[in-house]
Amino acid sequence: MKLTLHIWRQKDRKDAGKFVRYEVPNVSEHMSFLEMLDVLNEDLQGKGEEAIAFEHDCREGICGSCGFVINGEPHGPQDRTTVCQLHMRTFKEGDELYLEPWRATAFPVVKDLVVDRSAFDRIIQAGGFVSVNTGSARDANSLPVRKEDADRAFDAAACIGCGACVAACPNAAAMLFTSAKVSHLSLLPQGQPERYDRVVKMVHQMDSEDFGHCSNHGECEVHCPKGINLSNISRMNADYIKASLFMSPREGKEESGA
Amino acid sequence: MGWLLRFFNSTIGMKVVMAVTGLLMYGFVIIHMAGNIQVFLGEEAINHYAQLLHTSEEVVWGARLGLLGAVVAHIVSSVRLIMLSGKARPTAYAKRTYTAASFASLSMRFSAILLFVFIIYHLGHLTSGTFFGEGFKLQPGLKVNDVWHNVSTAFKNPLIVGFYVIAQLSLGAHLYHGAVSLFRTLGLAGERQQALVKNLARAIVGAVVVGNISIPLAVLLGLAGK
Repeated sequence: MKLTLHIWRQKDRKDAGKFVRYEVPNVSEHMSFLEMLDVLNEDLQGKGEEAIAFEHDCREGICGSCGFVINGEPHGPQDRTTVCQLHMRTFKEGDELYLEPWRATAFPVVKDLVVDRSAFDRIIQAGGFVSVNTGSARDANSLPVRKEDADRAFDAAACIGCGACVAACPNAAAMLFTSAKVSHLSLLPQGQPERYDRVVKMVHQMDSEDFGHCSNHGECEVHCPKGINLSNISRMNADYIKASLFMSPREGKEESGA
Repeated sequence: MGWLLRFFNSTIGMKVVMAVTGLLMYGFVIIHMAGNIQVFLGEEAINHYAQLLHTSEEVVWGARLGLLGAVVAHIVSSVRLIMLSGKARPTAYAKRTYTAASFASLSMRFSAILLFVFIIYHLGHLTSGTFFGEGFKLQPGLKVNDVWHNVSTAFKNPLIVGFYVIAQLSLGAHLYHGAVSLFRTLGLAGERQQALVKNLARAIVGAVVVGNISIPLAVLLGLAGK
């Protein structure tokens, strides 16, 4: 099939950027979206032009590297699919597609379709971990976990941090990402001692990164390639409200953060 | 007190303000509708209800100031959040496709503006009588509005009825998304409650909108009022 692409080209962070039109003939329906771009890039390089920059790594839909917006939808029109697992059979002859990077202040464009998602790393660094003292690991089954909680924690832990939730949100909020990272620990016994400190630190870090607020449109959930549920946001809010308003403050110092 | 300030300066804290003040206004809107459909019970019932509300001026003004406080906090929080949202995404997408967002959720700020204009008009129209024009009446010998007379006269005008109906439809959209949103904001909508919350919102919003619209429409069609 033949496609017309309008791809966002931006040299570096400071460049204003613009859409450039490309005609791509002979697209096989068996190609993934990224393979189609590979073919286009080979052609561009053959003509001495600069290749289109996009991020990718595993191309199996699990690493969270790839992702851009296709016709207003992060990762394109197919549910629960990263753009590397999106195949060209989803499109038809003559389709006109607009490819844009995630658009958020917190995710500055590095080049073309590549954005800098270090803001996510800083949210994790603020508290998205369990502090473990040294010693040997305990026996696997000595710590009982309710099956339903284990399932929910696992569902939340499926977040690959691709950033599609931020891209999809009309407010560029990182609530779904942060709530998934808060939830997968807060649902398990290992996450309990730091549960309330963690949620406060991560939410304050999220706010300080210039992400927006949640207005409960639900766009993040439907565009999440891993189907992370909105109820994680409800869970995070409950913990944040409890930790901020009702729990005794941490000994010795005021909560640091944003 | 730094902890409290920090909470109210967080995005979640600002959303909590929206949710709690929204809940207060929800209570008002339900009582307002339930009280006013007494128009269908006739002159004595509705005018007696008006007197009942004004039994104590202190209580009336207490309630009014409380509601005014809620409205102001609701608007201030929403403006702060909208500004943050603009800062979070200064560049719009060239193409935008919405999948989950509803008409109600996407139009919150527009229904809010329409409601703000409507509330000011409505207060001047049927509460103070300022915008009513000639013929606004108080109950004989009392400082209480003659609701029966005023409503019966006001809603003979199809333009006014049209504006009320449009305002109530936007109220419905605003309330529906508000209800679904506030439970999640307050951390009360897990997987189990989501369907319940939506159905409850539909039932309450439906009752409020139908109840409110029925009054001007019934008067216009000659089914209620004098």
